[in-house]
Amino acid sequence: MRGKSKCKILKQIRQKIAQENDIPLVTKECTYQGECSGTCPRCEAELRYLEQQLVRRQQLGKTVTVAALSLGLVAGAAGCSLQVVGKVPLEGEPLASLEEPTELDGDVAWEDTATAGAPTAPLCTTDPELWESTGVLSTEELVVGELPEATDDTAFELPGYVAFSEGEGND
Amino acid sequence: MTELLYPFLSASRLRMTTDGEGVTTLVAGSACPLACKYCINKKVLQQKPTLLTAQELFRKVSIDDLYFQATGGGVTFGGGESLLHAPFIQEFSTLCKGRWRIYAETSLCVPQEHIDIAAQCVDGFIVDIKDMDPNIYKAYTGKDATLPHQNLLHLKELVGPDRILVRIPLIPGYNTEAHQAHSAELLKSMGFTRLDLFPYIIKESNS
Repeated sequence: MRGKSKCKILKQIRQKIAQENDIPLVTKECTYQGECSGTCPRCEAELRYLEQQLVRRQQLGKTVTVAALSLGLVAGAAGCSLQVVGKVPLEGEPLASLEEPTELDGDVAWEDTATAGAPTAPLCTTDPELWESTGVLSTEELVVGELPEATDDTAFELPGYVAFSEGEGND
Repeated sequence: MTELLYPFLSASRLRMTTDGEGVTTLVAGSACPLACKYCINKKVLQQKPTLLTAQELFRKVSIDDLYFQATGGGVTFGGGESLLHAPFIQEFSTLCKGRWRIYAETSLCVPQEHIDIAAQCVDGFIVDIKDMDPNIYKAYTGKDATLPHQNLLHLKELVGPDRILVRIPLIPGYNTEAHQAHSAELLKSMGFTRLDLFPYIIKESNS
């Protein structure tokens, strides 16, 4: 999966989660030029924000809907890479067709329109150093089973990340 | 009881379409019984592993919990030979049961007991069968094909063909498209319905 396709899909997933759970989430087009691993500070901040809002909904006794919201989105939108002999049934329908990402000039600040107490996401810039610090690994397209040579553990330890604790929300 | 530890090498987040359905994190553990010339993770396998408990690994990959749940994805164990760590995978699965899917990328070149364990906790198997011709298999991997072929049939008996994706590579210098097609026909006659014919990509890192 090349270019901004991964970022686009992940954003659609986050938007779907927000929509189904009545969580205000305003997203802006990313201006980063080049291939994306989906782990930039802005995208990660949106994910952490959704997690916190979902926990808040649970604490208030409201229904939380996440499971299977975006079934089929990945395979349907990105296109299956397999030359399959025999059919592989896809679960669900793609939520939306991919649009070509709109290229904007300059940096666009992330507007925090969430409820009070929501985390403020850092600006997403095109600064390569910022990408390196977030643990973005090789941007070469990876094939099945292939791992990037450069292992960077910081990809799993981002600011604001609270590890899932056993017993919280387990079925 | 001794706690099971996983020799963690590396992980790759937010995989899509390549390693299981939905959004997955590919986790690699060390050790492999094969010596494939074009092993795709040859350099990663040379690294020193970090030993993790199931809880530690679970907490590590939980960063993408929402994506996993929303897309029906989860964690894909690769490597190396993932099913060498089948008992660990079974323990790990108890932490995410009902929440995430677990996939295993495997050559099936493991003791049958590991197949039996994995069948209980792995939702989908991605099997790189190399080639069904035992001579080609031996030439490429350095190992006899009897065990993985037996395990393939055994696995199908345990979980059914729908949970098994058999990948048949075109291996430069070892087999041809005709061999690939023959392997596919043979596998279809054995009852496998999900096949993936693809070419090995030779990169500088794995040549």
